[in-house]
Amino acid sequence: MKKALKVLGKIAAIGAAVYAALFAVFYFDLDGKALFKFVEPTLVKHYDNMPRRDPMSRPYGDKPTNE
Amino acid sequence: MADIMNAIGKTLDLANDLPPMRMPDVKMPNIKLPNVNLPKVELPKVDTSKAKAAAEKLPKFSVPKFSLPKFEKKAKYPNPAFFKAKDNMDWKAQGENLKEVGGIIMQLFKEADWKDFLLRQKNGFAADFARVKSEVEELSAMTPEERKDIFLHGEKHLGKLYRSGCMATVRREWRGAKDTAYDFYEWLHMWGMLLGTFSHDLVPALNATFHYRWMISYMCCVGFMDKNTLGQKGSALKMSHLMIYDIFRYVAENLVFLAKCDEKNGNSKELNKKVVLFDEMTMGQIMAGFPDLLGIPYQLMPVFLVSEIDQLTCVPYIDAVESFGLPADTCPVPSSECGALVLDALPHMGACFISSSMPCDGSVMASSYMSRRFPDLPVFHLTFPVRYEYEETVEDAAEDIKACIKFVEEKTGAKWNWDAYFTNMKRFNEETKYELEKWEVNKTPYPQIIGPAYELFRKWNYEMDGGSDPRVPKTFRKVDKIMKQAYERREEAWRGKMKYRGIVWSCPAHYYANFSNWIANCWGVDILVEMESLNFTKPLETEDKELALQDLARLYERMVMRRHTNGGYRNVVDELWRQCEAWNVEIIIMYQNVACKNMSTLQGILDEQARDKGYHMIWLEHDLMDPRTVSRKSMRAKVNEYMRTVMKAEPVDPSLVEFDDENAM
Repeated sequence: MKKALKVLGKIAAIGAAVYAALFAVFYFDLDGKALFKFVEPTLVKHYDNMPRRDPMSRPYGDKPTNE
Repeated sequence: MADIMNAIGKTLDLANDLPPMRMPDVKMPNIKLPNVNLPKVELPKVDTSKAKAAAEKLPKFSVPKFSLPKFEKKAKYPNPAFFKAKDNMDWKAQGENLKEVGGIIMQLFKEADWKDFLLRQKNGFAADFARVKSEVEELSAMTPEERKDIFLHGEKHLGKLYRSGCMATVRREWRGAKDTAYDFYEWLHMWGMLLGTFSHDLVPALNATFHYRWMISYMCCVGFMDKNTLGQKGSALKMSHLMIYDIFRYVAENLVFLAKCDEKNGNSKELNKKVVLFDEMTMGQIMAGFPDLLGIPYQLMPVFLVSEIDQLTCVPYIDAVESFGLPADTCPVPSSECGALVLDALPHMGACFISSSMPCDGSVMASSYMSRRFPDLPVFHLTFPVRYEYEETVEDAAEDIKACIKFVEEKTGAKWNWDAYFTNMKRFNEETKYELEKWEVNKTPYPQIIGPAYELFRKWNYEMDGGSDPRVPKTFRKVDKIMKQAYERREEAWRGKMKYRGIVWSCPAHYYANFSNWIANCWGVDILVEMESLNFTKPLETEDKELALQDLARLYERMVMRRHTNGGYRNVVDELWRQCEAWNVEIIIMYQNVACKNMSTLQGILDEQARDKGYHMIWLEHDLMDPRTVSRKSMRAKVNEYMRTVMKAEPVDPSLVEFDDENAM
């Protein structure tokens, strides 16, 4: 019985810690801040570096085929 | 015949606004009539089927209690086979891409000015500390009753959540213990749904993030949810969350499909055979007759919707196409779509594409550009008559739809299914009935469902969902129940902020989709309805096939915005005064998209008539998807000036009168 209560207590403590951590992420908008401070600057640089199709380099004789 | 149908149409419009009539009780005297033998006359046979069909379409004056058929228990939506379709990914190219991202991270790490970085972090922490300190001081200066009020009912000054130059808010709003707990639950719910949906096919979905600039903006959709619900509590907050959740579930699922189909990512040949793309301004209802196919509003995710989530997303697209010579006064919707094509920011996918001339000729430009970019993609152009109120044009429009159905059948091998179509339209009709209930409640002195979430949900449901998702009626039912309970309790949709009744006319700024939220929180102007919500509400035919196609044509002709800005003066000018009366409003927020030529011709007329009729009309210039032309701050300044000088009003929340959100999402 005591063992079971101990296990339940541990589960409750872990649950409370996870809840508190998630609530901190939520309340302090850490998800938004992480995107703004880290993810976005990294990916924007990547997007700018990516080779893109250049419409001006399309061959003169290339005929459209859509209907 | 056309004149008669026109007259019926006008009568129906007028009849919608008539109060229920009650006949007086009159006792008639008993009079005995003499018996007369009348000669028998044979009457000619008259075909009454058309009259019966027209009579069935007449609106009922009282909304009956109804229960929805439980479609959602039977069908799985979207078809799980779409998620399971095999991908044909070019792993080598994906590896290269991933390697480059890794390289950039390393490069950023190496090249970073760590001193500067640490200094910025230090400044950030100092600003946070100062903010927390001032909040603590503010709290300690309050009486115990005031503190209790904030703990239970939330904070009063929302402007302090913004920080100059930041994309994210400094923290989320404290709405009171109960509502913050609910908001937290919905935040978890949303992230759970996003992760769950993306995990249906994680690799292509993640790869799309490394290919497309707009994908990263969707990661901020939870922040968009916050913007739309700012200041809301209780029933209003619950209803907003329910509606936004459905929109984002649709978005997340379609993002996965886009990633799976895109040649650069999942490249799923199996799924591509079943994908019919349509222009983002083309309504989705036509796909109801093709249950085995997947209809995707092509530019909706990369351009249209994302510009509402992140105000700066479309700027590179607009710049790109303008650098090719497109004039800068062109409507930013087709400009952004074309710019996205120039930058190769749209996925290469699908079996065919349905373009349209809706809502205006701007779409034609984007469609032509699109078909030139992807010459291997067969295109069908739906071109409905502009003068849609002339009933003789309906047959033409219905023929256009028939041709479109034939086109889809030819290109995909699928067959149009009338049963599936009628099932979806029955569902759509029920959803429309629920929508009308919302309108009835909002017309009363106790409106319950106001704010941007309601408007976005209406537009999405009318335009994109269109009865196809069997999970959506459940949301309608829940919202309806909450709304009616709140109405019974005479709740305030914006607690303590119900000062003026307002209506929004003309097309709103995408980059300020939550404007009605700001104006309610700051000045207590409650937007009861927006022009773009007031569309076709007559039940669609669900039995007769020919009439069903005609109804579908009528629906398409009255799509969002087109219903008002096309088809003549009376649809946008006379209609405004009719709606102002019906909703009993005093303030009109008159948007002026500086690039919209249709609406700009009417400015003087609208101004003059508003003055004559005694309405407060606040003109708000904007550039739809380009916040550089008219910023959010400039839009707010216009309202602030009017409220102070003309209305002599005091702001409900002075912290929201002026704040910096130029970089905010």
